[in-house]
Amino acid sequence: MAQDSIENVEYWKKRPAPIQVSEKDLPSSIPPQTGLTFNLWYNKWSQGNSGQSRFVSPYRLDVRAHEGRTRGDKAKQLLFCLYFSKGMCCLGRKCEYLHHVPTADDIAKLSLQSDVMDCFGREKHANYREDMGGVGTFRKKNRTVYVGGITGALNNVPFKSSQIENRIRFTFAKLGPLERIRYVETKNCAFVKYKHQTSAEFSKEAMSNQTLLIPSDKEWSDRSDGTGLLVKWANDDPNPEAQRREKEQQDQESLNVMLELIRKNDAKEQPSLENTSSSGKRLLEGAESEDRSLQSSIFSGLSSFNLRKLKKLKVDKADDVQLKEIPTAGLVEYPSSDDD
Amino acid sequence: MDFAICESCLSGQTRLTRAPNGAECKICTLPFTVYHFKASSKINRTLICHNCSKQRNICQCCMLDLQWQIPVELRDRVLSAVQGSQVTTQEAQNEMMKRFIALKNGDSYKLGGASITSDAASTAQILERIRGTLAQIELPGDKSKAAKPIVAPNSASEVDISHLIKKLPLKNSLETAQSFFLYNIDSSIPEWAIVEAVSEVVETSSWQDPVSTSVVINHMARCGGIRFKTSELASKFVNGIEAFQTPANVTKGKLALQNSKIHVVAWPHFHRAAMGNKNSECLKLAQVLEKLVQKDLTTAGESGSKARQSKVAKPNKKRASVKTKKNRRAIDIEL
Repeated sequence: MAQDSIENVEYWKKRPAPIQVSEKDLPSSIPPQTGLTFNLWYNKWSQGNSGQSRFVSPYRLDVRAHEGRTRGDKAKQLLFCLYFSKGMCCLGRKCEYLHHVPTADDIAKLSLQSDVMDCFGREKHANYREDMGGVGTFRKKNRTVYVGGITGALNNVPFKSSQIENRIRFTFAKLGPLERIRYVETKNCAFVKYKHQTSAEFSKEAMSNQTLLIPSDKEWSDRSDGTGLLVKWANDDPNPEAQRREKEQQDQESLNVMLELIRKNDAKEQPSLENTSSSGKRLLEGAESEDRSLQSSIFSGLSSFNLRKLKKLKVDKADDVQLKEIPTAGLVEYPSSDDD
Repeated sequence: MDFAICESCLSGQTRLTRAPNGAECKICTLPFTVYHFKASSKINRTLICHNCSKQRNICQCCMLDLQWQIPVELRDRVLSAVQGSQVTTQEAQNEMMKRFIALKNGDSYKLGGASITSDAASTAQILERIRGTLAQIELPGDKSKAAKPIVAPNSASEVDISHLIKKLPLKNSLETAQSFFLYNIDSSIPEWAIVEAVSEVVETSSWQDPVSTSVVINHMARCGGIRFKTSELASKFVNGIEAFQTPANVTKGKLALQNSKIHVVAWPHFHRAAMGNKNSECLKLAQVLEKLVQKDLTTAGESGSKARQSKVAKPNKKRASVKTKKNRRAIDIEL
């Protein structure tokens, strides 16, 4: 795979990032007037029906044309340019952030950092926003985005469902390695799951308020009449099959972590033997551990067979709980009222 | 000064600056004293209050466990796997509970797995236990795998998918074409793994056509299609994968991936719509393909070749024979 990624990467590493939009073409930072007074603090109009109106972004990230080297590459910046992802960075090669789609290399470096920030350097929150939009949460690794507003993004043109799925697949696949896509025809939405959380973060920003029309459609010139895609974080898949899969992945992950913990502990006891673990950070969940489990290494012996064994072990252990139960304090240690 | 910041966040930095006004704790939303510092050319700052960090035994900056440097959820999962009892860090869902937990003293009140990792003695004990668990698992691994369960809900069986089957290249063999039909894809195999496997076979990752969809995997129907940019790459792919003969004397390809083998046949008319859109269609298609795989893998001695050939010729008839031939199933799906 190493040689592949070089091949892929080469074309943008060789050239400076182009300017996506010239500065004078950028829209005014003051939104169009929808109220009576302008609130400087929130950058919004108030007193009026300032309903969040949906729109189609006039800018769009064209991966092949826009990627390139920036100042960020020289400064070993790890974070990506938010404006680049929306296709509206006016700095080009002078930008301090990265101007390319996250590669496996970047993701490996980013995951050495912790989860408190997304790939654009914005702080995450404890909980999801009510509408599942925004930066997301640091409590959960979410690699799936929900794609809604598909009819609006197609200007209400009735396309066949396989065509719609194809378009979603085509646009989202360019922004990172996909794990699976599920287009739900009856609900008119799609769920796009990526290999890495970073890809999901990036594509969420890149595809929000974008149209699904392509230049060969005759509606292309009227694309701004529609409403853009609504890209949000997805909740857990309730499908039992998907949950089983998720469970298996989690079990594999915790096994890897156990091995790593033991390895680190051993290294601490015999520091002369092993210096390599000095990075002192957790396993990379996405890129590395999965690659490692595919390739031959210490984890190769741990197959799904062993996972099943582990599960059985868990059940066995549950029998003699009285030994192992740790005193877990409940949230409430006393009933809140006499009625209880 | 009281704070809990892990060494990897500090990375040797000993000078912290107290922010003049503090901030709202990300977990309990109470105000707290913020420290910021520069470590490895990056400015870090504390995001949660010291009390919250003590309750969960996590670093105030990166929110990873102070002892093990792993996320809280992962720590709890590891502990529950080892202990056999469910360990979870229950987070408050509403404002009142947030306050309620925030007022508890973090020195004595620990949430979830924090009670173990904050205490050196019990951490050592748990590590021993992990070692035991791993040793038990890693006993000389006989890598026998049971056949995977095939999900076949009855509701799918009466759906008519002959219009899909007509478009699918079920009779084709492995020959050079620009695009290929893949089936027998386990639903747990992600799309990127298939892309990587194909890239490995053709020894380049730029085999996909940049202006059209080159990989379509329908996990529900357990099948998919790939299309190459050039016919040279396609013929390289054909030569690179393992070929096998079905009982009906058709050559098909096998792409080894993780624990399963994906069957490959040529599909000159690559067509997304042929793989079904509706749930029931996809499930039914998965059943039909599953039967095809079983048939390809059975040796000639096991079943009458006449019945097989007629099935290959007329895929529609397969649906009729679903019930009668249910018991005939190859044991080793994966070969």
